Amino acid sequence: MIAPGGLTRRGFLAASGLTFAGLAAGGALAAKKSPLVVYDWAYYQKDYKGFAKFFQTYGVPTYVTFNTDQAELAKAASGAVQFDLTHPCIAYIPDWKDAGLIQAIDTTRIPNFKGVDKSLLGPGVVGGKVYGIPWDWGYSTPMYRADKFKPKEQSWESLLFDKRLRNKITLYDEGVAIIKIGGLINGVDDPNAMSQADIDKAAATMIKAKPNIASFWQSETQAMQDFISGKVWVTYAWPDTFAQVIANKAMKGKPVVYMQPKEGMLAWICSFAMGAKAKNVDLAYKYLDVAYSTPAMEFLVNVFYTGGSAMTKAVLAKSDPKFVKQFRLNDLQHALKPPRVWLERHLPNRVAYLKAYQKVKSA
Amino acid sequence: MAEIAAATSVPEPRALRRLRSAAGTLGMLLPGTGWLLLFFLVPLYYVFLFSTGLRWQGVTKAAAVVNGELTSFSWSLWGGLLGPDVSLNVLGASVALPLWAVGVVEVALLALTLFGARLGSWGRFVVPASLVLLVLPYLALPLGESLHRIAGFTSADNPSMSLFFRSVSMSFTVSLAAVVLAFPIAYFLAFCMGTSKYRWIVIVIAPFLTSYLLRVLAFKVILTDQGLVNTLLFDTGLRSRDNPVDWLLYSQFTVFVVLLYAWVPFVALPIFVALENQDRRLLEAATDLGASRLLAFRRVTLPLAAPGIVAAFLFIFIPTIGEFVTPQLVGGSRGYLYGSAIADDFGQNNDWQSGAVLALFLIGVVVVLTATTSRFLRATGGGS
Repeated sequence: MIAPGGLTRRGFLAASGLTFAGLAAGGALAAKKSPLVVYDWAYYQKDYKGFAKFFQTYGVPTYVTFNTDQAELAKAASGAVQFDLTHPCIAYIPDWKDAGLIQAIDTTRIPNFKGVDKSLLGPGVVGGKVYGIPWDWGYSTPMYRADKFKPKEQSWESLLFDKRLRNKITLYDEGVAIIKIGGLINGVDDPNAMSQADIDKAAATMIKAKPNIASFWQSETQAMQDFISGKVWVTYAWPDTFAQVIANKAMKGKPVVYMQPKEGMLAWICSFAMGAKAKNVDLAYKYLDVAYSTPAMEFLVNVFYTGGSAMTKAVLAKSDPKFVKQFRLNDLQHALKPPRVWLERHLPNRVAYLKAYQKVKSA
Repeated sequence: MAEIAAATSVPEPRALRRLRSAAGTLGMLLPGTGWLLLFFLVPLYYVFLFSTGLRWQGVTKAAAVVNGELTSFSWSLWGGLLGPDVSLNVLGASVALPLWAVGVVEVALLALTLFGARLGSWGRFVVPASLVLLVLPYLALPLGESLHRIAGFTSADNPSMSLFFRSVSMSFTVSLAAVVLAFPIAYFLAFCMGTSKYRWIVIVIAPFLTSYLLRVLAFKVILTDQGLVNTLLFDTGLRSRDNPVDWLLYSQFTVFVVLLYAWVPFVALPIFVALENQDRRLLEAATDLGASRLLAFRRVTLPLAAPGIVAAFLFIFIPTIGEFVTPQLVGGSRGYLYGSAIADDFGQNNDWQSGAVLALFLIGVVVVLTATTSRFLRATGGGS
């Protein structure tokens, strides 16, 4: 995934007053400052109600904004950011580890970690040690306005090559995702393991699809604005995007479909990791324990409509059943399984994906 | 003795005065120029190191290797940019040329355009001919989703170079259109507005009182499918509501329009200064000698304003050639330019080495362009 950039409906109301979610913790205690530095997505900085317990006990951490995996990895590697905890997607954990930016995590120091679905742990383990612990997950798939058109079939291909959709699609400005979509259309066995030839063919497919692609969005807000205004009829969307759009007043009575394409949806798991030079390790473990608590997991589902890695019975009981069902939040084993879903994995040849994407943009 | 003492004491105050004067000059110049040089030369040095693999971005060499970065000195990235041939496409026909040859020819054509008048009677032919050849591959009609040109350079093996030529074409067309739009404004202000001209200048530059981002985003409101322009087309019956002009936003046309709007006031000012400083007695003399107003304009006003026009043109051309914010906000999938590629390499691609090569190449082109035209401005007094 990555780069959630826009405001959620709740976040919008809260954003101005909740610069670092201090007020979310409630009352005068919100002003208490914690020395902890968390390098976290702009997406989540909009609302931190789930972390109220930590704020009340230890104060509000300093949040440094994390925008996209690739760029933040570069920024951290250049030494520009000092942090105790960071929040990269789990597919990037080996890169953070190889760059010497993170240290192993002792999960026994996180009591609430017992609720985490162990099937999600694999990608965060490097050389037998846990470097990234899964926290949130979601899909990346097309969302379309059913009031404007009906696709010939539920597929990436039918959207990107439908002549009715000329200039009517906006996709996420993230090279790996775009090339994977091209690969899926071309029928590759696994979009996470494409050869250079597969990548070149995927780029060629996406170049052919460009007449339908009006733009590549860099912020979720931009995508939603264009979608709601009717400038585009199809957008690459996260569950949160879908939830926000259907809740928008302007979309009342206008059907929106969050597509399950026949080629499969893309999906991501993001994770917490401890900075190699973390100065507040003990505090970081306290924060992580709160992160896996029921209120924090519930907040992930109910505020951001995003899956959590510890979907315990207590969490599910408090989660919006509509989204639990639609996104299979209670069935992780099937929610992220290919070929229905292609979960993001570490790519040793990521540079090749990115270079191919630049060709798509330049064409 | 007193006379000798007086004679020997004379050089001391003069030397002191000189010293004080030099110290004053240095004191005035050093802080500003030092500041500017520090933040230009030092980053430039590091960018060069990145471009040759002498520096990499990963915190460790192993991390850099994992990242696919060069970790020892190499010109390979430069070779990748400058090595492949480019194609000159004219009305469907295509000729492959080495990039260096294109560079040499372009600089020669620029020099002939600017200094060809010195060739005497030959200049009458050389200047317009070289101007046409220089301009033709870049002059574009930005109507619809893409730039439409009679001729142009591309490179099938080198997308970055194709982007570079596309950016040059966009900048050139924007700069030319801005000069054409701004000249009448500057002329009117300089010659027709009397004492109220300075109030009008403030009005011309008034849009700069708001942020660039806001002004660019305002275009989205105007140009989107349900925006002002399309609504006007719907209301006048020229388009049905189901069929808006969808290339008004997210196209090269949008980038052109927004850049043009943003830069016209900047262009009007140097042209205004060039016109304002003209000696009006020359126009009177031309009229006294029987020249019509049009002839006086063509033979007196325009040549004297030429340095201002060239300076104004460069004033837009140089910054817009590396533009990436406007394409990102309103260019959509077709507005991608050379500056966008540099921004992507330094950002989401995490490939500072390739970004450094692209950035340095652009700086090199700008330096050559500035050096050539500044000689023209000096020679014509335009720099004063």
